[in-house]
Amino acid sequence: MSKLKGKVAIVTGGSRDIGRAISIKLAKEGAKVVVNYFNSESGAKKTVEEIKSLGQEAIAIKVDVSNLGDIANLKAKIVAAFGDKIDILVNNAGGLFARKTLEEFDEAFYNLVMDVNFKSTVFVTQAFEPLMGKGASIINLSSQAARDGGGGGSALYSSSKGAVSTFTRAMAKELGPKGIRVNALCPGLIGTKFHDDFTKDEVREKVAAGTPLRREGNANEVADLVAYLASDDASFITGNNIDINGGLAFS
Amino acid sequence: MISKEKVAIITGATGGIGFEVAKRLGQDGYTVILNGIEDDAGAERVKELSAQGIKAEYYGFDVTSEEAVTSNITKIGEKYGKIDVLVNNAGGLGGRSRFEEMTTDFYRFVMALNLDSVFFASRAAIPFLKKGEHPSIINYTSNAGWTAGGPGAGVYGTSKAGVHAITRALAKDLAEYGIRANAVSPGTIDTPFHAQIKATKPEVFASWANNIMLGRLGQPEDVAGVISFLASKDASFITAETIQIGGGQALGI
Repeated sequence: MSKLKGKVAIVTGGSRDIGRAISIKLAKEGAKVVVNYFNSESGAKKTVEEIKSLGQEAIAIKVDVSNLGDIANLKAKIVAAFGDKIDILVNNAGGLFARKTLEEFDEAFYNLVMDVNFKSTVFVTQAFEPLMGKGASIINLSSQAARDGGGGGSALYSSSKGAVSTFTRAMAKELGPKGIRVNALCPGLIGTKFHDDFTKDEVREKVAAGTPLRREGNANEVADLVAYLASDDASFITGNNIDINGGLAFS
Repeated sequence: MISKEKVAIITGATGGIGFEVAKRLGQDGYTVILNGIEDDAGAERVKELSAQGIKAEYYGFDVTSEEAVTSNITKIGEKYGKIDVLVNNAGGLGGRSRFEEMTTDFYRFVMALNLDSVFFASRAAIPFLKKGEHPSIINYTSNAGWTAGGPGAGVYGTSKAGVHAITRALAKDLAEYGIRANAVSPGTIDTPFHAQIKATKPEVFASWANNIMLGRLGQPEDVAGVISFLASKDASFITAETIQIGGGQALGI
């Protein structure tokens, strides 16, 4: 497997859950991987070690991707480590933080959710696009929530992901002439810490039972789709939001 | 006995996108069964693939004939004991006709070519897909399924809207057997489908690239790369999905 041999990939929020699976999968396909993280230093170390054990290069860089100064630092460190050509950018960092209804959330919570999910995607893309050229690929993590408004108390999360999906289409138009492809994926229920923390077991069981494939997805399946979109086999795919949900959206 | 080979059936595979898909799946390690209605071309294509070390067979039958589709797919399924991938690639515009002048025969032909064919082949393949490895059905819809197509292509668009829905319906119906069903929606791909305009109005043909974000027309290989992925284990949580292969064309510029 070497679909991405010699390419340089950045995975924001790459230390755990889906981000970790993406980092490892891209490395398995031959890419050098920048594992960005903010909270989970141990997860980032573990991810980098696992990649190195595969004989591939990886570095972990701690920055807050919703902060423009931090993004500039991230860029400087990546250029120092891997040079000034980036092939794959995976805007994966994001989070729900808490389930809050319209009556419950305040401006600070709004800013937190929008910044981590949407602002980060916008300004990380702005920072790295100048280092990307023909054949490069940007992959944004949107969500099933962007399609259906999300589960209870996730209005801001789902709206931020809706913004990510639309930004993806706009960037596909803007960057298409440079030969940069921009796509998003919309995962349905994927068994990760995200749902361990925020979704009740009975809800998860109900959703899985209502999914045509009768199960939750796993992080590796999302990572496989990211690796595919990053590869030349997807060379004519841009501006797409691809669902990965076991058929859930239509059940 | 169930074959150890991976078996893929590609309908309408003697030219254009279908042949490129067969070649790609062959390179991915599948035994590829090419279907078509031009037997000489089919034999040539099998020879071409065999020369590349790909195990290929040709079955000549008309995908609009219920009897021919059922008997041939069953024969293939029984020979290998299973089918891993069915690519319902056969289809076409069939000609252009406005509704006022449209004959019922024309209407029925276009619907049969694009939609009935998917039903006939999928139904016949199900018993064998159940024995396949991460089995799936891959159909072709089109932007025309949403926009209803260009001038005189109304039935084509209607049939492709039907393919969009039958793909989701197959996905729901077959999920309990672990059989996935997805569709691809190619944009403007440089194939014999556009041969006439390419020959008579080359400047118009070339200008189509201006409406595509990536600034070029698609190539059959672009479609084959997506189908290779959808057929693979890497796509194991993707079902009921339609993937646009248009270089961003569907969004407009």
